[in-house]
Amino acid sequence: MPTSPEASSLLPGTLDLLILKTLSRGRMHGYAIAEHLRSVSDDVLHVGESSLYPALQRLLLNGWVTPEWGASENNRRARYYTLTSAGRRQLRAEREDFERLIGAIQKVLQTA
Amino acid sequence: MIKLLRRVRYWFRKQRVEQELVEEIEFHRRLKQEQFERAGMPTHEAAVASRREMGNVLVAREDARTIWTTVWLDQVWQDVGYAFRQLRRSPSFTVIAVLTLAIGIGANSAVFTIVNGILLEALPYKNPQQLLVLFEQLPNAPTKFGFSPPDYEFMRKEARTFSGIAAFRTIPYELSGISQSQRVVGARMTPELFSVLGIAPRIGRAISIEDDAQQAQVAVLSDGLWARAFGRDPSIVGRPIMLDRRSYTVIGVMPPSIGFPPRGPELNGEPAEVFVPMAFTPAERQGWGMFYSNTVVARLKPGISVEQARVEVTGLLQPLAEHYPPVLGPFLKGFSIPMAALDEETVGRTRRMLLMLMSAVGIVLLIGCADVANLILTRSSSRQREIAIRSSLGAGPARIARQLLTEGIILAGAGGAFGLLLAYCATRVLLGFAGQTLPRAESIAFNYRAVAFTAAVSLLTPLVFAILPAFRTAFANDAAVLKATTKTITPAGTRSRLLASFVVAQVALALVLSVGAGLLVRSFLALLSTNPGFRPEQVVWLSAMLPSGRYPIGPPMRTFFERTLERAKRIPGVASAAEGSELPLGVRDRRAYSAEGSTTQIPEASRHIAPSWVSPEYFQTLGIPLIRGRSFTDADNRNSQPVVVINNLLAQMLWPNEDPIGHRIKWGIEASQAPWMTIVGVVADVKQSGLNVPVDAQAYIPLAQEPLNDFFRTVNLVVRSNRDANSIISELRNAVHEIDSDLPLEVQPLTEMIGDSLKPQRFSMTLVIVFAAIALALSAIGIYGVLTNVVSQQKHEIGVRMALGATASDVMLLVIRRALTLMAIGIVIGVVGAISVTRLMSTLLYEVRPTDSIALLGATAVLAALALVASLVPAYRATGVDPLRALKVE
Repeated sequence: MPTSPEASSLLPGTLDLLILKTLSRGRMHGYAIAEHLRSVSDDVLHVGESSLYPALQRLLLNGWVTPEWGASENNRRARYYTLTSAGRRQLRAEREDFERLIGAIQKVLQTA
Repeated sequence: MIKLLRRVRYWFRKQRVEQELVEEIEFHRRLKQEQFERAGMPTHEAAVASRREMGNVLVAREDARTIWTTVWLDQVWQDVGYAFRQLRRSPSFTVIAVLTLAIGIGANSAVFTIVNGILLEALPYKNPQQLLVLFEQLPNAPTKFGFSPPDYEFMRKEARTFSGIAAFRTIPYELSGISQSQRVVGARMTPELFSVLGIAPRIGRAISIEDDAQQAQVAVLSDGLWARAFGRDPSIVGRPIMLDRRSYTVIGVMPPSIGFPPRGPELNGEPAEVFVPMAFTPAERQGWGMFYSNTVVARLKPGISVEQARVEVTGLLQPLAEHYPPVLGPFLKGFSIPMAALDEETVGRTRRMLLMLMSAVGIVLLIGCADVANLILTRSSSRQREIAIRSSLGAGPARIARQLLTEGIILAGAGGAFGLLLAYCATRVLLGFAGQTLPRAESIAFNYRAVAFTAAVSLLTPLVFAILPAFRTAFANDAAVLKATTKTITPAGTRSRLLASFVVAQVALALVLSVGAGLLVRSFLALLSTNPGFRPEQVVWLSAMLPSGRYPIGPPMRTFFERTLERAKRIPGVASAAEGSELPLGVRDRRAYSAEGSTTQIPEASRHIAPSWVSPEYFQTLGIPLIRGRSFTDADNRNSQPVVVINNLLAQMLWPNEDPIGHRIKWGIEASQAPWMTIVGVVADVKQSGLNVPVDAQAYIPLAQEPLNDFFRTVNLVVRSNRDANSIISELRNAVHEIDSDLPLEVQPLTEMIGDSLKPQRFSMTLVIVFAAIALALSAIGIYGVLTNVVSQQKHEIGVRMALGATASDVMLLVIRRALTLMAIGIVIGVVGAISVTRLMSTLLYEVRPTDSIALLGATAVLAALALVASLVPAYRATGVDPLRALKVE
């Protein structure tokens, strides 16, 4: 069984970043976001619903994504999320922060 | 900030947001289930598996929810919910507290509504703060008076500090030609008036300069008259109406919200229902020293202060005086032109009375707050265990205090809501009761400001009544409370001290208010028992206005007087009947005079006389005693020697050591054209200008000897009979209608006139009595509540005492003694407070000093009696303590 870290064990704020990044490809519903994260991470990141949906609510509250009801592939009502321009800015900022952080961690790991 | 808005929005759409989340998660699960099915799982199993994999959906929902709600907001919500549960658990406490607050807040809102309409709402004219009213004043006249036409014309031409200036005067008109002819208030106005005020008719046009110059018979209607007499018929413009039996063409109708003049000023202070051109006659324009009856309204130029205007106008006095005929020179000595802001002139005299009412209701609310604070404190003793448990579970004192404050805010909110309802009703009652006695009564309305005021008061009151108990309770808790297993907890010292100080404060405040009410009652009784100088019982008074269209100045008016008098005397049971230009209590006119052969130096301020023109049986009909000489007869007419009857005060003033009969007086200065009038009689003093106004020098002149003018169009017919006054009213009305069937008449017993003249005093007195009664009742409740609490807390002590042989009366004394102690402290503070506060009322009192000992003692006695009664019930209950039971609980 592959290690499947729950989102809570990710670095704080990382899940938000991953969702924002995923949505930068276009509008998606929750299930698609989770599936995308799983497949892109080679089955490493299993984002549970109990962290995915609160995270989406957080993004809504901050105005980084907007929800919209639409028809899914097989014609069911699904809620799609779209990145807002504020969300795009946030993604850029968080991405820089994250890369700085990862760089710092790697430096620490290499020199220790 | 936007985030906060989103949060707030969430609160309102909470239900929907949750619903959407549930739907979204279910959609997620369905996709999962389908995935399992594609992998070959049977539908049923796939559903179970998908559900298992989803984990705890409830937790996800809970987490999603906490994202939207901050902890703070959530706790407030918790507090509110908890508070509601607590309040529902003790309904009697909640009902009493809410009712007390509702009465307090409602009374405040009602009085505020009146104060707002009178003092705070701006007058409905353009930039009303720029509007001034100008008067003329002579040093030997008691009151300022209006402008004469030539003086007004002079000011209009010369004054530079005003952007506009206009004159008007109100006069009664008879409106006939409609189903029932009626008297209406008219205003004769110069054409500038509406533009100075910045108002305009809503339909039709205003009175123009041409209308005025051509003496055009045109009229602008008020909205009220338009609605009342013409059913808001828009085609009225251009149609004729009958005013004083002359035809006027309606040229415009005013908007509903704009009345003029505002009700209030002593001179020309009744809202007009019809506006007509002033159209001064040539004689009026040259009437130097005459016709001082026009109110002048001026608008300050922008940037010009009242002071600058005053300086300019004062500088114009000398040039104006030079226009007067030289013979009037001495008359103009010390002549001045006082001015006042229009709104101050309108409402200024009522301000003190309104502030007194506002303070009175404020005190009522404070006493109510003390009651509620007491209730909360008392209840907190029984809640101490609950609170101790909460604090042991981790709620900090601040959290608990906040919880208790939340309860207070909810109580006040509910109180405010009911108070609003109460205030709405109370305002209507008050307006009905105060009627026309309040200035600007037409602008008093229960509007958004009253609602905002109520909301503000409801938010502020919990700060008064809930903060102290909340902190006391929250911080006084300790573990000892939890350990105590019995229901009785030793009385917490600070709490009973706090309770006691609330009671003391209540007693003191209630006493101040009661003393105030006592003073107003004493003053009112003094007014009622004032001898008006005449006997109004058995007298009926008919008033009418002779329309100039039917009664030109001269013989037609005299004929009317003679015929109505003669006809009235034929009514069975009528003993005597008379006419008077003005009746007692209502004489506004004051005239300067000269006395022949008087050696007394009369102070300038009293060199004036209140004149009345009367028919022969006037004194007899009104019951004014004749002291010396004779009254008038039919022989005193145009062909005989001019005669006059003076009052005792004037006789004493002019000829203290002589018989005044045979001496002569005349109007104006000695050199004036007026004829000398020989004094033929002296009558007793009569209250000429109101029961609360000191008697003035008075003179009565035979109506038959006076050349008539428009002033005499007011008819006052008084009839004394040996029948009940009410039974004669319709006969008198019919008698006058036989002579002129269209004439609008007002007929009433003369006693009603006295009652009407006291309406303003009756209004403020009644209100303060009601407030004082509420204050007393609330304090009694406070005392009752505190003593009940004391008794229940001291059950143990009482039980011991009874076990040791104390009798029931000993026990009652124990409780009552405590009540008396608190009351005594409260009364001492209250007396000191009352003496220092009631000084401010002195101008509202008649023949009663603010330190009146009867009011002070009376109020104290009432309060003491009430407190005693309130303490008897708990005291009696204390005697019912079963010593065994009381001791066993320990």
